[in-house]
Amino acid sequence: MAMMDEQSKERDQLFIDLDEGRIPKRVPVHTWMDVTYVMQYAGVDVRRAQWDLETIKEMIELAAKTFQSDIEPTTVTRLMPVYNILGAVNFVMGSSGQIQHPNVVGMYPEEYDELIADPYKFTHDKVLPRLYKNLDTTPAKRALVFSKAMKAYNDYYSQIYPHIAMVSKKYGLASGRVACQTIAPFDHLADQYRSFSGISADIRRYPEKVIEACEAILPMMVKAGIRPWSSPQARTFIPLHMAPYLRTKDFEKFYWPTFKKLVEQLAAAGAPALLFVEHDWTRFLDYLNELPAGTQMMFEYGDPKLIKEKVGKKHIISGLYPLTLLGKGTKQECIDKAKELIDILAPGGNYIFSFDKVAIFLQDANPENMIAVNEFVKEYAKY
Amino acid sequence: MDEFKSEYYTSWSDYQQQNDVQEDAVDLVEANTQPYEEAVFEFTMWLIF
Repeated sequence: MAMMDEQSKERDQLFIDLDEGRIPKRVPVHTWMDVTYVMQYAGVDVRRAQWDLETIKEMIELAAKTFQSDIEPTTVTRLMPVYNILGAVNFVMGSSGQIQHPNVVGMYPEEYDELIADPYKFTHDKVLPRLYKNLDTTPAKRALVFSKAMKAYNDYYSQIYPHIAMVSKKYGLASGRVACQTIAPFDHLADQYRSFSGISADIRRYPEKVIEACEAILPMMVKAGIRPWSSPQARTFIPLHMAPYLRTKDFEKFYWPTFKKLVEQLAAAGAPALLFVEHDWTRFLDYLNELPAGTQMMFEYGDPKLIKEKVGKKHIISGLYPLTLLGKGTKQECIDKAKELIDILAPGGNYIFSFDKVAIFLQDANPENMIAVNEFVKEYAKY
Repeated sequence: MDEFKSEYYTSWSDYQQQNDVQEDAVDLVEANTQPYEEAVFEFTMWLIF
């Protein structure tokens, strides 16, 4: 156990060095995978296993000891028992057992003023009963359903988080990189309130209301993104969605102002961000470079050389390795791709090796290739 | 930073204004009150993220 403690410390130090602006001993490896990916790897029934806390815990341990990540790689973000109690329509289990997110509308366009007046109250009064049909009932029944669901949520996570910490120590891994999550105000408005198509119409029909709504939502998103244990090593995860689908002038007008304030206010509160920069943000790299120094950006797509040049001096870069290559490439092709990216992104530090997506489907990412690549990176990418 | 305000959220300062908190037990009352307010907030955010 003492040897594992030492390994954990060494791995923690890789991330601490990065966060404090030093070049670490080697490039750290942080792989992300949904718990259902591990279930497929283990050959268990994904539809059944998501109802079973003990199986989820077994999957967390299996991933910790198998995939050669420096951080425990499993993400457990969707809890079937909770969604079942609530009658969720926004997260439903598909035939493969994966939780899917249909395009739903939690808010109608005529309700902007109500949202702007009190976003948290509006969320409880209007949005939640539309996303969770068992909350669309009498006040007394709604309180009972909410209480049951929150109890289930607490029962699950009060075991999952300590279990992740325990297996991380057991296998000599670094501490987790994420303290909590929040969302950019415009993304929040789009994702579960107005939907992709709804917000696309709103920015033409009610532009001032959209701007006011983003400003009104901001304090709630800031609050969601700060925990007592937030730190440069335990960051606020922010998955970014809508910007690549916006015209640049709409990005400047609707998306950027409150997103920038969010990241700045989090950093000022000691909760630096870990952005998952979904899709291709090439048009917006100069904007990203304006964010507080040391923001971590996990990119999905883009030119690694351009990203390194534009944001890699000031910020920590990760991602960009095409996960799907692990599904179709040979082991050597996968390793060659890792070498190519490391040669571009690792010089000067500020780099964590990650794939460009969270692994969800086994056919997208051959586990043998994933393990071979992570082992190669740890050996090759020494400073 | 803007302080978070809502009719449905009671901050500790709101709580103190609305309740007669025993002076020599302020720390204990806060430690056994505010975490539950925060837990409901956290769960609410999980439902919409």
